[in-house]
Amino acid sequence: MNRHALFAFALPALLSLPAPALAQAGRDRAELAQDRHEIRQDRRALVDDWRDSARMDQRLARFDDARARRDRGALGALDREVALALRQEVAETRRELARAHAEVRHDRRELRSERREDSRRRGGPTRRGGG
Amino acid sequence: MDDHRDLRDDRRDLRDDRRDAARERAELARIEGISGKWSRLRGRMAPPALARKRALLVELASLARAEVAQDRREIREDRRELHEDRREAAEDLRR
Repeated sequence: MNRHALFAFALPALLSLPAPALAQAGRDRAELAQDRHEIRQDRRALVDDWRDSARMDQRLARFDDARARRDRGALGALDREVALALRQEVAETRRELARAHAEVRHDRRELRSERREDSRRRGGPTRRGGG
Repeated sequence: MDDHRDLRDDRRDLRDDRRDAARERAELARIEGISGKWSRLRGRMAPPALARKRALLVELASLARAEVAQDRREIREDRRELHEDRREAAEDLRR
């Protein structure tokens, strides 16, 4: 179901909802927006990684060619190019790792908050600690 | 029901993101390893050194292809979650 169809379907029901249900609907919409954002990010990552993969295949082909011709100039140029690509890849992977750790921290906070809310609703003690 | 679902979704997100972080850590270790080996081989043109460099390039090409495959899996996973969230949001509104 596309976004407009979902909205057209949901609008009449939304208007007749009590406040808690509206709050839940708001959270659901925020989740949907987050999911769509993640899919867009995944697509960008796919395009970038596909390009990197094609470049690496080309480097391998150029290396084989230079090695067969014993072209020291071309082999030296590839030496530098691959070293630079590796430095960039290490930096990029460190950034991705930092993002992944931040997401885990965020998820733990969400889960703790959800458990506290759940516990309050049940009238029990709150729980500490994530996952 | 919504609370139960929210808890389930939060647990799923935490599990997925922990798995992603572990994968990134392993990938970083592998690339740093290759980078160190490449640095030590730089400027060396003898046949054994060239053979080792070629093996590293093959490993890098294989890593790059694995990343593309992983991106595709993540897109499928996120689409499935989006579909689930939409379905559950529509069910909530019908209730």
